[in-house]
Amino acid sequence: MKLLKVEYKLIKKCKKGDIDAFEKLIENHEKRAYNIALKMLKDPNDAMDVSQEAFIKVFKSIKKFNHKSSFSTWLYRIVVNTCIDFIKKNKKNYSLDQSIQTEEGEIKREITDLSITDPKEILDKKLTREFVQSAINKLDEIHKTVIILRDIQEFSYKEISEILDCSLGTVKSRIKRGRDNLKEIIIKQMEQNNDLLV
Amino acid sequence: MKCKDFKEEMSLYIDGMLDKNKKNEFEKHLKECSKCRKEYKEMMKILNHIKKEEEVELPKNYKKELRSKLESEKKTSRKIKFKPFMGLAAGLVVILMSVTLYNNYLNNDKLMQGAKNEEFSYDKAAPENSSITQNENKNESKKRINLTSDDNNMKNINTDRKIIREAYLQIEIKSYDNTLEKINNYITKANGYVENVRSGYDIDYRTKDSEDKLKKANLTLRVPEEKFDDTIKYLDNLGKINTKRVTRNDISNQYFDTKNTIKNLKIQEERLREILKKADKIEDILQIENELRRIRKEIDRYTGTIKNWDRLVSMSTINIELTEVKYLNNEIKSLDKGIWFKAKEGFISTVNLITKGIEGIIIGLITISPLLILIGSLLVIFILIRRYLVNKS
Repeated sequence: MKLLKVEYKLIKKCKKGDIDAFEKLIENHEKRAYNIALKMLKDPNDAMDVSQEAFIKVFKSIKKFNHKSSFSTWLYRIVVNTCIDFIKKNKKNYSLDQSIQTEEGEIKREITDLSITDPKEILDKKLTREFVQSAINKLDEIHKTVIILRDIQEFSYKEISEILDCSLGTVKSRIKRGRDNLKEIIIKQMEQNNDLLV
Repeated sequence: MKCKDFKEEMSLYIDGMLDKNKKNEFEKHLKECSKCRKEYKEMMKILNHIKKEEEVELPKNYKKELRSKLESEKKTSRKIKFKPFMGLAAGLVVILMSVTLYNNYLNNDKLMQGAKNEEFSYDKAAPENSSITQNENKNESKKRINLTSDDNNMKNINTDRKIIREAYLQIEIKSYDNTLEKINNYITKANGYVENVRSGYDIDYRTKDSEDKLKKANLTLRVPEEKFDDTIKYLDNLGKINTKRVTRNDISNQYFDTKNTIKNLKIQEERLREILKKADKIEDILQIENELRRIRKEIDRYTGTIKNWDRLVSMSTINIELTEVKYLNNEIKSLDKGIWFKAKEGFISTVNLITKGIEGIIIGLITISPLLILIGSLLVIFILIRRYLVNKS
């Protein structure tokens, strides 16, 4: 309750155009929003630009915020929508070369990360992080968004339904299908890799 | 539970979204079916991989950049808001100016009208009272006549009161010629006559050059005394009465004094004639004749005034000032002046005001159009230069 009251007061200030209050308001959401954008867009620069663009949208339209949903789900809805818009807009620009390049960049980083933090995982050659990551990237936007929100950011089903502005049933089926598709993609990728190795 | 259902509900089970019964069923199947167990384990492995991913920290300059973006956004949004307000303010200023200008011009008119109306209402009360007193007077005089006639028939004429009645009316009318004709007809019917007419165009700067010049007339009417009240009533209904003044001048005292003086003079005349007959000396005769001439002159003068008074008393004077107007707001003034009437009055005057205002605005716009064109072209140049600069940058 106390937290909500603080949030309410901050929103009131933001409606008057108070930037300091706005910074306080989004303090706990910035990292999460950036990470969502990063997972969705892959490129860190894009993630930064788009998440910031989303925050500006939030700031601009906070006057219209009516407390019907919680502020955080409202904010993440804007973040997710901004990301999806960005992807749609730049679909042509995402040439194959570029995506491969960025994927490679991430893969490299992940491998080094893994070697330091979790060496056991490398032993399991059948399933590595790069597979999972690239598999997520290969999902279509809807399922990718759901997987990011559910399995990476661990939003509840209800929160996801609010963020995506759809029913709980839709969220359930989307998560299920997203996971199934993800698994399929991973299995396919592993088979390909095995072929390549052989 | 079948394997197909298992697949369906696996996702919900992982997220703890199943109710107790289904959960038990699911777990039972999980133990029994090795194929499904394998699938579940695979899925959990994948999901665990995803969940293990740590959140990436924000870039170092993230907050700073966001802050500067927000600030610039605030500025531009303010600018955007400012622009329509400027337009609005400019429009308001123009409207205010035209309204005040117009009001100035209108106020003179309204003040005058208000004053007229006041005078009118003030005057309206007066004639009502006077008509009552008049009736009383008449009754009184009649009584007196009766009384005196009983006493002395000789004094019958003397007791009648001599009253000169005069009226002044200021009437606003719609159709000038029509009204004038009406008045003429009525007066001749009432055995009266028009003594004096002076008519012409109303010299008003507003209508000076327009086609529909308005006429104005001063009339002096003479009507028999007994038709006076009817005539006033008739004139009342011709148009909007702005001023009404009815005066009654009781000249009874002077009248009868003068009559007595004439009588005395006549007696003196008789006496002088008798003396003249007896006179012998020429000197005396001349002196008496001189005296006679003087008395005769005086008698003539007094009888002249008496005749004049008789005329004034028998024929009342009505002065009318007719003013032709375009709109007659108060045509139904005789009706009960209720709320609807007032509303109607207001509505009509507002409509008139609006049409006049629009007229004024159009005229004003056309007059300053050269200036507007100049300002507009300057503005266009300014905008073009600005756009060029922005594009360049």
